[in-house]
Amino acid sequence: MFRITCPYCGPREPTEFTNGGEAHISRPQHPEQLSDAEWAEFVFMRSNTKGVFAERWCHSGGCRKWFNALRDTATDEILAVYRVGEDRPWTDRA
Amino acid sequence: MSAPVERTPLGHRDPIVVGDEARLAEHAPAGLLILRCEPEAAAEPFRLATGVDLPRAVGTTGIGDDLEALWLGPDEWVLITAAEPTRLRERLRAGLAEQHYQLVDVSDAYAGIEIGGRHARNLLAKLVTIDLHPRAFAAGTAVATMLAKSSIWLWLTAEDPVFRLFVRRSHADHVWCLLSDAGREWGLPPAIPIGRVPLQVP
Repeated sequence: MFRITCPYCGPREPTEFTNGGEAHISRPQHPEQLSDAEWAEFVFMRSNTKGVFAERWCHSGGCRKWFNALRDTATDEILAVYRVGEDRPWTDRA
Repeated sequence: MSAPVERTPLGHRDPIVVGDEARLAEHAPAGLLILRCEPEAAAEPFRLATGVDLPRAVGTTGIGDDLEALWLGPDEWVLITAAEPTRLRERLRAGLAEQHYQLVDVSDAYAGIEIGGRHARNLLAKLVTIDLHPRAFAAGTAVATMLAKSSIWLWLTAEDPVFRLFVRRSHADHVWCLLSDAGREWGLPPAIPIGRVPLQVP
């Protein structure tokens, strides 16, 4: 059975979670100094990875906390979960 | 105009008892408070104000004389009290005055349902996805999870077993009917959702 492990609550059913898209995209420090193209890059452009992908998840049906996960987009295997603010864990997979 | 009538969210549902097999009843505690705070800093002031240790891990609860605290998240708890919550609120406001915290009275926003009987675990297992086996879910465990698309707090208060389930008021009748339907193999009657309950009766 497919399960997602919340770093606070442990393994739970995927229906309890909400996906928040790609992780580690930081908001520009000075948006007013950006060109339209640079702003569009921040707002719209996301990588379309096949393989290990860092993404944000929210345990919306449980503790309602956001966290990050490394998921293989080809196999749906979740390789690691880590809390917001922690560094992306190392994996030897692409 | 008719005078407002106080009614509990499931006041229109009679308790269902099928011997010691399964039973279903509304359980309406007088007070539910949501507390959000930084656990490191607030644990000690909270204990001094209430006499209860703030639970710090998933599934755990803190039980006091007239207060139960259920862990909902790393910085969120629900405090349940059988007494009118005003005094508890005042006590916490005084005790946590130095802390960065949020305390919200949600007594009227949630409905409580008590599920008991020999088959209570099996009945609930049809509707929730967490492991309810005694080795994983012993008495005193409480979690926030989903029951058929409704967010719930599920708390096993006694090994008998007696579960208490809290759900948002507007989902209460829906969840009641699902529970009753899940218990049909043990003799619980089919229940038909009544839809929106008028807040005032003429």
